[in-house]
Amino acid sequence: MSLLEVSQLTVDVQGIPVVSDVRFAISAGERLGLIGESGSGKTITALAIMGLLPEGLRARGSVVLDGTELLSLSERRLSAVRGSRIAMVFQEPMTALDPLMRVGTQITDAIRIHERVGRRAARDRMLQLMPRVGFSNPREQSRRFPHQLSGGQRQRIVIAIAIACGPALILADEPTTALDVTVQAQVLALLQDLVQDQGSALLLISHDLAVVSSVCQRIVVMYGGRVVESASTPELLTRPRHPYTQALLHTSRGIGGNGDTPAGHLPTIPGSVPELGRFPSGCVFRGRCDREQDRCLEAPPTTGSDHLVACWFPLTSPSDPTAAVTTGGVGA
Amino acid sequence: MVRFAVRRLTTVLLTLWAASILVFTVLNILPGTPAQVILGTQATPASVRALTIKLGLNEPLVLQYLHWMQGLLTLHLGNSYISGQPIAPELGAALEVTAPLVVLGLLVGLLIAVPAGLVSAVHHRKASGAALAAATQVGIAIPNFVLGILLIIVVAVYLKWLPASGFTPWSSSVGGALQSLILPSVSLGLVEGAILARYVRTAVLGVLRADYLRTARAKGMRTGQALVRHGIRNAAVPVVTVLGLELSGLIIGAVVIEAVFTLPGVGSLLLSSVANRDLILVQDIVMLVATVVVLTNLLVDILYRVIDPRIGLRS
Repeated sequence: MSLLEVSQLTVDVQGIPVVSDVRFAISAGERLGLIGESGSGKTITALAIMGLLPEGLRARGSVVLDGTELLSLSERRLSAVRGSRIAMVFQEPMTALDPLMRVGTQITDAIRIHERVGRRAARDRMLQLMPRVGFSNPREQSRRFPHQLSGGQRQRIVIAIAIACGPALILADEPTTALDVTVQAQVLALLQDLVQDQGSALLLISHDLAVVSSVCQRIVVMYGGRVVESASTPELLTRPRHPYTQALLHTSRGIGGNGDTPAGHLPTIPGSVPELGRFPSGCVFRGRCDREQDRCLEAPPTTGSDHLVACWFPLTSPSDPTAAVTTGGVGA
Repeated sequence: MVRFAVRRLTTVLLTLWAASILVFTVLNILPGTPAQVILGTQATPASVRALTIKLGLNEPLVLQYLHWMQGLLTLHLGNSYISGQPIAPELGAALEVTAPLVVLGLLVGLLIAVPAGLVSAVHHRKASGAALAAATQVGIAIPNFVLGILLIIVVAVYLKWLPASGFTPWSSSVGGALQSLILPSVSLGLVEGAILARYVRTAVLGVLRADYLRTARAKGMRTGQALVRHGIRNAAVPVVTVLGLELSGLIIGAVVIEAVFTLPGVGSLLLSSVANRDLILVQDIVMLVATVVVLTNLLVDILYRVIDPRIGLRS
């Protein structure tokens, strides 16, 4: 049985769907990647799972953790789940911590909310946690305020908060996007190690296919608030079936130099992500897709069992992944 | 730390010194000499000159200023031009009315502002929050003396619960003194509280939208818990700024309110001494108020550094 099962998850903003009919499952200890461009609904999906949607947004559908439906849980019961069973690492380490509180206290708080331990015991736990996220001098460093730490250090504090109670599932929303490139790999490796040590499951949200494919066993691709494809990482990388996934793959491969675009040109996906509420009816990728036909005016069903795809005309041949995508430089 | 203290103290002293020069200059430029006012329009020039010499007002202005400063620094405030009585006890008696009035006014203001601001922020999408926000808007629009007169009519004249005016000295009855301060401090504090409530509301709204509050909730805190744990301190930074400014507003408001309720406070003393050209008393009162305002600002500055570690004592 899955640890987390998301089905028919829909989130509306004033009647405009930001997330529509999203479904995926994570089993215990599994690392699942959620990938898509900005505006594809990744963050909203994570916040809906946590029950932390901004005011005015409501989630419908079903989010089941360990047999418990989270969407219908009272705020009181849900707050007992947050932090202890599911934890979240946010995108912005600069603002995710209280600027007026010592970082050690912010970690200690996370422990004391869920466990009936004394102040001193919680502090000892915190001092043991800090070396695990890479602080060599926890006594001194736990007394710092967030502004005295670098972005990478702050994010490691946020990670320490997330793992403090040994949650079964950690949602990491673009945990390295705001960091320096040199620090990104460190933080990512740290997150992966910790998750594996604890046996937690991980939902890693990113727009960066390279990041997700290096960490995750399975990948869910979102576009326009919908899941367009999901498969195991090797399967998705070698045999993408949705034209959007293929285009994504193409853009990230092109940078490596082994793509087929001429030097000095970055491969792009033609067009741009529509504004919220401006997505076309039918298939959301319509208008940017070159396999488009009349049938795409109708929303495609999701087909497949292990390798799910929502496309009327999925790619079938793994031999030529570039066939369907317009290539060329910017503006081509 | 030491450098901060020295720098701030220097600022305070320089500000007060500048204030003293300003006050002295302005009051001495004003038309009408004290001797002329004291003796009335029928006085002979000779008697006016005699009184001027007696009061030391014939001396060069610089010397008069230095005399005054010397008195202030040694806390010998001198004698009133009019009554000839020493100023210090008179000012002290007035302070016994005004200081409690301002403090109570501040308390009333805070008691209104903090809950009203908090509730209207937390419930800002509900009718209750909107109603509270509207009520504070109305509160801001009412001048404090109008509110004072309204309270006198309703609570004192109609309901006869509290005295309409006057002051029972603390020495004769503490309860009586407090009773005579209730209506004045409510009319003083209500308006200031309404203004402050708007700032509290904005500050709390900012905190509610802050990422760290979401982090706290992701840890498993309920919104209320998270607000108490992280919100109060963070919201306090902008509120303390306004609170410092509000205190100056309260002191100015006290002058008006004392007139409405005929309280023998510093405000009444200031008004009568201005009318009488009792210049030395006016100067002393203005310096007293200036000192309180400057010290309040110093206190706010220190509070900032206590609340927010990012400001630090060195900068």
